[in-house]
Amino acid sequence: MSAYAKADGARRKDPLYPIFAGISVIVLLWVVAPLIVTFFSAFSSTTNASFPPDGFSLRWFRNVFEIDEFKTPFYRSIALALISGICAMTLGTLSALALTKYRFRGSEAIDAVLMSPLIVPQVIIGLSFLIFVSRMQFTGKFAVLVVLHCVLTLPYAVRVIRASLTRVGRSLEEAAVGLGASPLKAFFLVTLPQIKAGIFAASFFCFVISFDNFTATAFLSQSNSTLPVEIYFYIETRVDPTISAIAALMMLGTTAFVLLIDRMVGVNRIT
Amino acid sequence: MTQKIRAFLLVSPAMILLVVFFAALTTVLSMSVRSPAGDFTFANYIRFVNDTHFLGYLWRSIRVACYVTLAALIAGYPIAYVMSRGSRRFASFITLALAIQFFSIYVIKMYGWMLMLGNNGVINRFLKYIGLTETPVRLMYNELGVAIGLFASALPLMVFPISSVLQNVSSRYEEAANGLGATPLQAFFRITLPLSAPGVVGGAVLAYVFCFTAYLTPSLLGGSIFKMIGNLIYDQAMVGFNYGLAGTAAVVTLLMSLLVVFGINSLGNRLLPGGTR
Repeated sequence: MSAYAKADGARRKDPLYPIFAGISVIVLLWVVAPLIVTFFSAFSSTTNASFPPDGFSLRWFRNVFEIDEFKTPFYRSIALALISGICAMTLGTLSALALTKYRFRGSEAIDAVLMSPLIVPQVIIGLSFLIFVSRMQFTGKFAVLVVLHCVLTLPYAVRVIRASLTRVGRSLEEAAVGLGASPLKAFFLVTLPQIKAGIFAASFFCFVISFDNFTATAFLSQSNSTLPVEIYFYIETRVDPTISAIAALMMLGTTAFVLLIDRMVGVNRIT
Repeated sequence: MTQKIRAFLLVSPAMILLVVFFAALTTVLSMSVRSPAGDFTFANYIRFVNDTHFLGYLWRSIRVACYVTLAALIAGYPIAYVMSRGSRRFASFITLALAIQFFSIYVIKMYGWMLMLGNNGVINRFLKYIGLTETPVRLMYNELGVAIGLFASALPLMVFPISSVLQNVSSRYEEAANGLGATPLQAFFRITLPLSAPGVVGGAVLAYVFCFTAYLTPSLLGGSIFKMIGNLIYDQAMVGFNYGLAGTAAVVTLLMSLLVVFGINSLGNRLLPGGTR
């Protein structure tokens, strides 16, 4: 944040700045335009998902809640994001603690392994889980999706929690132990309250990563389709404002998520 | 010693999960070097590199990934610059707008582009309205549509690493350059841009690998006309049930992605002061 303040004086003399600001606004409008179009097309009164919308109605929002097609995938996505998020957060917190508390040989290798799901492309993660479970005779189980989403979200959990543990430092916890608290007590009473914001941010982050995931999940959710996969198969064959209405509701969720994260830890911390 | 044991105990649950992940990755590799009868063979690889149809997927993916990454850099650098040098309110507004776009559900972003680019989409309606065209311009189900969709998704991947590096580059360096007689353009190209190179390299690698291995964007915006390597992997596995060939394509894709990730990073470490982190 201090970088902004420092730059304020220089900006006035910087002739590149107005040009860059202009380009930024145009590019951002371009990439945000589809979202705005989608949002407003949800209020169409005809079967036409277009912009500007034909007429005004809320019937497509009612349709979202009335048709069953998306209900089960929606609940499945929520359950998946919650369960895999809790697992990833638990494993991630433990790993982040190990990496920040202890210095040991091989910690860099462990860090690399923890981050490895990030550098393997999603199509390949999806394919490998597909082949793996089909050879293990485990096809079609919800648990497979949970394991997959744990793998996908774990690196983010580790990274965000590790960053907040590093920021907090260890002196208070050491003081607590020095004053006679057990290490476990010191962690729960001293460290955990300090990294509360990081834990919240990481949890939300894991939830969104899991809820949003399409590519890897598509390989595994033939019988267990998640919401993004169900939407994909729907829009592959037809376009109508039902999807716009679902999209509009989810965009409200995304916006709330981003604003909340920004309040808690600052959005530039997690991107 | 006890420290080490404690640390390993703490990371062991995560390691068990990742062992499953690596076991799954290994099955892909072993599938790709196996004949349907189960013998060891490189037949899939030989078939892959000799078939212009398969190599076409690879070539299209590399081509699109290259120019989309370049476009994202040119369009994204100014955004990163404004995010780190703008007034506090404007910078945080830009950051939030980009973050909302970034965190929006991927499928929905692509649905939005379908509404934009379709024959009866926003852009074609607009072109017709201002009288530029009578018949709709084909913006989707071709390479252009895929490139447009990939650009929008790759942009934040490019911007965030650059802006986080730029935030730590003091604008005083530019002031010093200006004070010593450099024009603003000279100061930008000789001071700011080189100092932000680690961010540029990091962002470019992320954007490139994302585009190169994309599946959803080409399948929705490219249709059956413009398919990329991700579509080949998916179709071979899910439609053709040919795990051997899907595995071969996956191994080739993974190696080519890792080559870019580690190749560029080690090149960056050698050429850039301070490395790419």
